[in-house]
Amino acid sequence: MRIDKIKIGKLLLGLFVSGFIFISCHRDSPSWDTQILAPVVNASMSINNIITSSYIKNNPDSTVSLVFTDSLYNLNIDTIVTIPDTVLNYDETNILGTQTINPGTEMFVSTPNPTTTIYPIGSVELTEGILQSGYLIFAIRNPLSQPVDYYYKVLNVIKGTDTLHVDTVIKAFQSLTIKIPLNGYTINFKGPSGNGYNDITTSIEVYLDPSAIPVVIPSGDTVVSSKVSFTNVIPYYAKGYFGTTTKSFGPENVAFPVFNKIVAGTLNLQNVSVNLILTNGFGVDASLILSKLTSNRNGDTIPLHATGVVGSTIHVNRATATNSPAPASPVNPSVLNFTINPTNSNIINWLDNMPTSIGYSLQVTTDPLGNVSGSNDFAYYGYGISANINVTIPLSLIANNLTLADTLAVNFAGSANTTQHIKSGTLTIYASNGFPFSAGLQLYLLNKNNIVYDSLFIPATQTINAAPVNAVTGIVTNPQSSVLTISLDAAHTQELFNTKNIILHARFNMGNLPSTYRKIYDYYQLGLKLVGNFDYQIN
Amino acid sequence: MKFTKTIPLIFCMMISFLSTRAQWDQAIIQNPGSGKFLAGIYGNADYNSSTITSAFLTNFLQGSYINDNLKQQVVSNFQTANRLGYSLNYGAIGVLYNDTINKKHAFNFFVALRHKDYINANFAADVFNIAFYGNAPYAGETAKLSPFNLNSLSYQQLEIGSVCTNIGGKAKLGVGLSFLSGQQLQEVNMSTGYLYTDTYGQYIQLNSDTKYNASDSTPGHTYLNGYGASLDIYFSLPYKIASKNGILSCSITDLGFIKWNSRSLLYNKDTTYKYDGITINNLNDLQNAAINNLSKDSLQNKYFPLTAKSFYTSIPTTVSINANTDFGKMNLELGAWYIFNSNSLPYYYVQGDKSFTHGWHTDLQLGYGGYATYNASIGVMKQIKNTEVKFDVYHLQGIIFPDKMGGAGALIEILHTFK
Repeated sequence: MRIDKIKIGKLLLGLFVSGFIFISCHRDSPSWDTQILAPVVNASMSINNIITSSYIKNNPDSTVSLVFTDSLYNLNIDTIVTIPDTVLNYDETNILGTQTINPGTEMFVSTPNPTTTIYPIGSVELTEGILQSGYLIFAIRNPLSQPVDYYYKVLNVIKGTDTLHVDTVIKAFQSLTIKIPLNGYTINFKGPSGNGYNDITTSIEVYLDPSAIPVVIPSGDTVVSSKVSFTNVIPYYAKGYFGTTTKSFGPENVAFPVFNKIVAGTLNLQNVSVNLILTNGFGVDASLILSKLTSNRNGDTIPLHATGVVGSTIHVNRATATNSPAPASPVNPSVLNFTINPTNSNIINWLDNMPTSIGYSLQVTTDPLGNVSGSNDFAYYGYGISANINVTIPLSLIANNLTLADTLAVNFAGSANTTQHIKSGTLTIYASNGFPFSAGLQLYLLNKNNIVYDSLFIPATQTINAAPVNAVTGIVTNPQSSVLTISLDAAHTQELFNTKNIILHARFNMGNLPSTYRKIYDYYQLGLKLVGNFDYQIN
Repeated sequence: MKFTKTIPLIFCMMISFLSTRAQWDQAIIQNPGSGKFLAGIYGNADYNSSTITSAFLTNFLQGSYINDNLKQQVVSNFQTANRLGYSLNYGAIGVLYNDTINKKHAFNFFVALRHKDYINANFAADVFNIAFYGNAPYAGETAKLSPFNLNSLSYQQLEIGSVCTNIGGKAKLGVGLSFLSGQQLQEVNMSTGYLYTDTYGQYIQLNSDTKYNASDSTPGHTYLNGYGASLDIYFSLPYKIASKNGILSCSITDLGFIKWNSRSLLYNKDTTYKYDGITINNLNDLQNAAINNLSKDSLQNKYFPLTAKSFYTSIPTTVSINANTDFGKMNLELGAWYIFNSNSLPYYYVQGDKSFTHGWHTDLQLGYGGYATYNASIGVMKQIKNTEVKFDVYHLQGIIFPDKMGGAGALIEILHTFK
């Protein structure tokens, strides 16, 4: 058979075309199944790492306590010295018939000039003050056809050597508003006599501007229209007699987040210590009545019974002034510290309730004995009356199915591309428990809306066993090993590795001698190793 | 990946390489007498393995699912050392036939432009098992990963040379010098490698003494990453045994080096790595416990820190020898070749050449060695006036028995002489 060039060319062309088609079909990557056995996570965690709470404190003897400090309430200077907004109007109407006013001529002046008025501060009698914030707003309207000069002064309000004042020219038929911040101004409320209180001395003078041309004003026309406002004035310092006033606070609740993660079970604490600290930073005598202090959880309310603290009138002496320049504290507060413990209260039951909030009602009376200071009461901004609660819970406890729930951000797979390749498998938890409590685990998977959509059940028979303890010292003798296995079918595997948030339920119970209080030490460790054995499709 | 893109050519174009390319091209050595100049193009590709079957490789390259049956066919081929090799070589040659029959002028000159790809490996059975079965079957056991050697090299070659066709009468000597442009390199040499998987999977430990060299593969630096030179030498001598004439030939091809640029990467470490999971300090760290972090750059940087540095590498060098005896109706050739730096065994072969009328020529080769054990190849050549078309198919064992053996390759060459 004779093959010519044309036939050879066709043969080569056919080969190349076939090759091209063959290569073009190679769109996919090969895939195959493997079985991967590998550690995923290892951890060795102390109680601080497990609970991940800022309330955990290590004690010098290596025991661990939960310490929670918060403020029940705070009374600041503006609660006892309230300076209301005040408006002063300065208007003048021509009632003398048609008049001609020449340039530079006085059109209006306060009478008398200056004028002293009482600032309306209620029962509080102030003699001195320094302002923390607030504004003087000077609003002027010029109804004339020529410019007018305004000179306004508040003579007893001074910053450094400057008196609070407004000097301005307002053009014909114009309105003008000038806003002056009042922070840092000192006020002498004693008035011109030096014996008054709440006095404010002002002066206003209005002239036709010297550059103007004479103005003819018909009878009945407005000549001057201005308004001075003091707004949002808060004192930094106030002195005087604040008056006998009683204020009630509550019933209110403040969050108590120490037990927020506990969702079930019971907790018996061996000991607790609560300090109620009353601080008076006012230079004012005060009496307080804490009418109730309740432990609230899921509708269960347990009132605290503590003699001399709850329901009693507590007198708190006034603070003294240090007269120290900033940044030193200007006051030396008066402090009362009440210790509430199991011997003088029902505090154990109160905390065994595992409160999520604390309810209180409070009544505070200032100057209960009247003006015993000779109008030398004082108050500084930021230094008021406060009640703080300090709760210290040594972690020596009995847990009975005490269940902690924590929402954790997870990222087992890292990317969807990885998870698609995991077909099924087993997760094994190898635990080395150095705590005297057993722990049962349960995982709930959350969707992107943080709604539980599935769970991974670990059989109740599989728990992290409690470590044995020395019968005399109660201290763990050696860690206890446990193995927990979670079988995952393909669907659960996908769900587990796709989820970005899980809820971990850990159910704690006592080990041996379940009715004996066990202390938790900061050196106790829970070792966890999570091992995956997966059918993995490589692609 | 170049590997996946080029290997299919083996099957598509049915091109072969190793046994013939181990020698000098006869067009350079032998003046056909039909013209003053010769120009030709050729392409060949070759895959051969002692272990990886053709069926397995075909499925791999086609992107198919590799089932247990395919994997078991490979497992049944396991030896102490398992080899695979792939090469792709294509280019163009031009020859000036300056010699004359009376040998008044004895020198021919040639020039060639070539592209060459090599991928070859020598691996222990456990490497395949870990890759395709995973490490779980090795729980409580140690997988022996060494010796493991992988070479992947691509370069271009511009060669000029000359052949003297009259050394002491009828001997021939050829010399070619080449400039090399290094395109891509990856070399892994694990002299010691053991992977232990804890019985319960609580840790995985790798004992490794590994050297790794790689050219710069960052985007924009995938073509010219090095340069070098090489030398080709050919010598042939006629002989006569029992009144039969023959030619004894030997050659050295691609004796040279490439210097890779300073962006190239090196790793050389004898150490032990123990992986016991991602350490978390508290439960909130679980969001960092991603499984695929195991393959991230961070892990590579932690365990396999690479150093950027220039270095030299030798290119695969072929030494061949053969004796071709003319028995009148056919020729019988006995030969052997060996490629250094290629994970190949020496290859021994016997080949019969038979010429027919109308310019047809065929050959059949049986061999032992290389990347497989037994090899069989056939070739056909057609001379059409001044044009010669050659088409060889190699590693017939892997084509005929794809489930049991590995290998396929072909060569196509078209040469034309001009007056």
